[in-house]
Amino acid sequence: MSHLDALMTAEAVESGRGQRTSLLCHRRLAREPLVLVLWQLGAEPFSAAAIGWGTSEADFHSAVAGDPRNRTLSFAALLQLAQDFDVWFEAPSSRRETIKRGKRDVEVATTAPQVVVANGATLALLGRLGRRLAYLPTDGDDPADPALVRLGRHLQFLHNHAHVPGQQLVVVMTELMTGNWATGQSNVERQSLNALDAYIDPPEGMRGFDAAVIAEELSVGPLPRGEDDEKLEPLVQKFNDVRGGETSPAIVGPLLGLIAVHYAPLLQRAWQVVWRCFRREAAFEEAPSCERRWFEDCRAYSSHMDWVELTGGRRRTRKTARQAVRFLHDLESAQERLVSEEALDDPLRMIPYLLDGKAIRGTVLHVDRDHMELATKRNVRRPLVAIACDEPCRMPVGKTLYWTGDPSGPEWRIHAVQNASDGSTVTVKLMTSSPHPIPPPGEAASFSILNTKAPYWRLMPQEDPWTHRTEEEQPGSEHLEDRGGGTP
Amino acid sequence: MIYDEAAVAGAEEVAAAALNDFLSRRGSYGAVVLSAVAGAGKSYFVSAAAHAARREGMRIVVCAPTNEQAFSLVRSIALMNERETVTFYPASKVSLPADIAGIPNVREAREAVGAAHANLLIGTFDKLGDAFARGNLYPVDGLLADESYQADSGRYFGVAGLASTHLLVGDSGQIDPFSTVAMADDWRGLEENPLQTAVGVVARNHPELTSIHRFPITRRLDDRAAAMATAFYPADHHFVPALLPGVREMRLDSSLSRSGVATHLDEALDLAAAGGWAHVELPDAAVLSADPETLETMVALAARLFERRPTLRCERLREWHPLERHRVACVVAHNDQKDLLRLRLDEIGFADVVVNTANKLQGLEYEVVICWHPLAGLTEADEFHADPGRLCVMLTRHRHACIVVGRAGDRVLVESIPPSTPAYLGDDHDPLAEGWRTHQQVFATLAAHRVTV
Repeated sequence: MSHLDALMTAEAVESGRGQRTSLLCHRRLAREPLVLVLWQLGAEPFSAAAIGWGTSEADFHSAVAGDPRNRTLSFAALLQLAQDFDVWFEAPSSRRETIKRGKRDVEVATTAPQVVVANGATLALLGRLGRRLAYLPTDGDDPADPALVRLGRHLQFLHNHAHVPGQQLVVVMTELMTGNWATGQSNVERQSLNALDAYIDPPEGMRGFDAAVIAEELSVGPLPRGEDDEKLEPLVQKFNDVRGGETSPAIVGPLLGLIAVHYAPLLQRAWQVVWRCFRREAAFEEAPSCERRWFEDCRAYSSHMDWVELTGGRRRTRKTARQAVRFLHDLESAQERLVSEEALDDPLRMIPYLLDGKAIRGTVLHVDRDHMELATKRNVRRPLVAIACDEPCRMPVGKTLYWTGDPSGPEWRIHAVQNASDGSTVTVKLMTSSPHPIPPPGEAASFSILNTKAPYWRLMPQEDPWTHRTEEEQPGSEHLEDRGGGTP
Repeated sequence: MIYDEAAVAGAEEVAAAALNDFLSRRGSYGAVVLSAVAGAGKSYFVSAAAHAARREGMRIVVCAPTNEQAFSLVRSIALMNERETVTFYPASKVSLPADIAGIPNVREAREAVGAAHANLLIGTFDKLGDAFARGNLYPVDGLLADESYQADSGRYFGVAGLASTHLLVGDSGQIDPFSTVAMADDWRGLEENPLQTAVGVVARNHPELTSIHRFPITRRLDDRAAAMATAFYPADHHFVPALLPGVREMRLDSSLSRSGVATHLDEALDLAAAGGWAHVELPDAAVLSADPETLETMVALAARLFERRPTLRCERLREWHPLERHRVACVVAHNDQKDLLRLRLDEIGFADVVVNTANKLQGLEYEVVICWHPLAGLTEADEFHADPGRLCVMLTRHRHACIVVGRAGDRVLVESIPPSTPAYLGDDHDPLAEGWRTHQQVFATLAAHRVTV
């Protein structure tokens, strides 16, 4: 926990409501996202008993399976989702622009679909549903509707992409809010969107803690409370008795009524809280770096859609050693960049760095553009900037920093530190002689350990080395996806 | 008598067997692993192996995870093989420290061409992997990897194709490969896991081509330190100190009477000088990572240590000689602790006392170490802070004494039942439970050396 989080948490407890830990919204929130709410039957983890979806609060669609343990019934409900979802999800792919990447032109969709879910458990269920649907045969004895398979492959992509730090194709409401609000709750308690929402904005006259205690009793899925499923059990029992093994829509359809009535308030509860939270977050100004990350999201989406177009979208269930190395490297790079961007975009997010002695802030006293010093062999120009800071500087001489006004620019180093009782004078040195922007005297300036340089691209050898090949694989065997659309 | 001759002879046999195993596999696929505990003389072994491989006419590449580790390999290999040109292949922004670059048979390859033709090439996993992927390096006869329990499978992927025959040297007790992204856990137990160790991936994919030798001694640690170190290694990895008890000694001027905290400091220093360990426990408190009280205690310990004019003698120098400041290190878990400690030590004129994080001090050795206990002042023993590998690095860097500074509440954190942790099929490791157990064992061993403030 950072010093700022500790303080804000204390303030949240004191004031009885959530305290904002960022000034901006650090994810792009789409104008027309698709909100998806799910309920599963008891602890049955590979199907959905009730599904709600739509692209605005008024646009609510729902489907119930009746008994999701029955494959046909489960798929029938999912097919209703698939028919809407696939069309909506695939639509942005048709509008592309050409972007130069090195020597290659890539066609990137100008926008991408965004799915909003309540919590990590919902995302995990979508991932499992994706895994279940993506490989269904669409011919043979018991063919699955191709729309279902397509839904599965899109969900598989989204679930995988959701691992990328800072991605915006999937918004997990609890994660977004945990990043932006301090409350007097543990991380486990914050997994309940209802409780988190109640603490942040309790009803009139109530303290956040007390509101959260009440709200916590009301789940928003996908795991049902025991009491809810106890009420459901006789309904499902009766439904199964009456349909007598039949699964055809004509017979099953009219029997779903009571089960749909049971789920209607549960779906509505989840639906409303997700939209309420979404609107609250969307009211904050979007952080500037969201644009760059959105472009990365559009690229990932476009590449997925190209793969679907080219091959139908079938992927390996597990990554190869090569893909795993690449993916982990990409995730770590994205993580590092995200952390930097959020702090550089948002003064409140920079505070922990100032408090931890990982950044300095002050007024530029003077600039010596002509300072020379001996590098390895000859004298070179190393401009100096002296900054008057209100705080003592706790970083040692020689520490590498970046000017927050040019965070993708060259390195600076701490050249000298004079600490006094009421602050410090810190001299930083630009580590290159080529002309670069320098903060002018009299202006406020901050230097921090954070930079937004493009991460280094890890090159991989053409062949998998013998150490990483198992017995069955022959040297030089190549996986189709290594050439094509990348990993799932 | 200075050394346990039988133990040393036994170790030399293991080293010779591992080396012969490696040399005899030339030209075929295979990995020879030498697993050793802290301070076993791994760097010496790597240098000797490089020497032997060159004598057989093998062209070799030698790699380590970090630049600092690669630098020290360049130094030791060059000094052992004076007639052999040792080529270091640096990343673009890196260059050898002047004293190593100045060794006559050391060359720095700034161009790929120079590296590709070298008979003995040294670099980091990342640099050599990058050059190989660019087609700037071609396969050679042997790959020697140091710290191969710290190198992850992903890095190894980059360089493993450089040779069919590998010699992997490492210490299984130190910090495991780790990631900043939580998702990496999803791969645990799977063969594609990029975070398993280099040794782990080859042993898993090719058990029949991998042979593991275990080095049975430690040279750095004496009997007092080695007793603690057993907490960090599997029970079936037997090792003993090469040194006989009592060879290393540290003397301090008698503590002049002082008031308040200083008496605790003196008590701790006396314990450390006599028994090789001291555990200073500050009062229980929940604090943020760069806690000023812990920091000032460490600074005061360093200052008081030198006020008492410490002198040493050991197997290398039998005469009493003064302890030098650059042979003392403060080891911490976090960078903010490091920065603050550096600043305070500089202020009292102790710029040459080393301060660094455990990760950066892996493989290095000092006479006296002052350790900021990783659990100090925490409210919860999480996986990072309870990591047994980090504690292992912190408590096995010293030749004479180690002073651990923590808080009275730290022991309580690992006294209760460990929290439940997710399990992964095919992965028997439970880092948190292992850390829990190791910390308990270490606290128990430190009990005899404890000073409560």
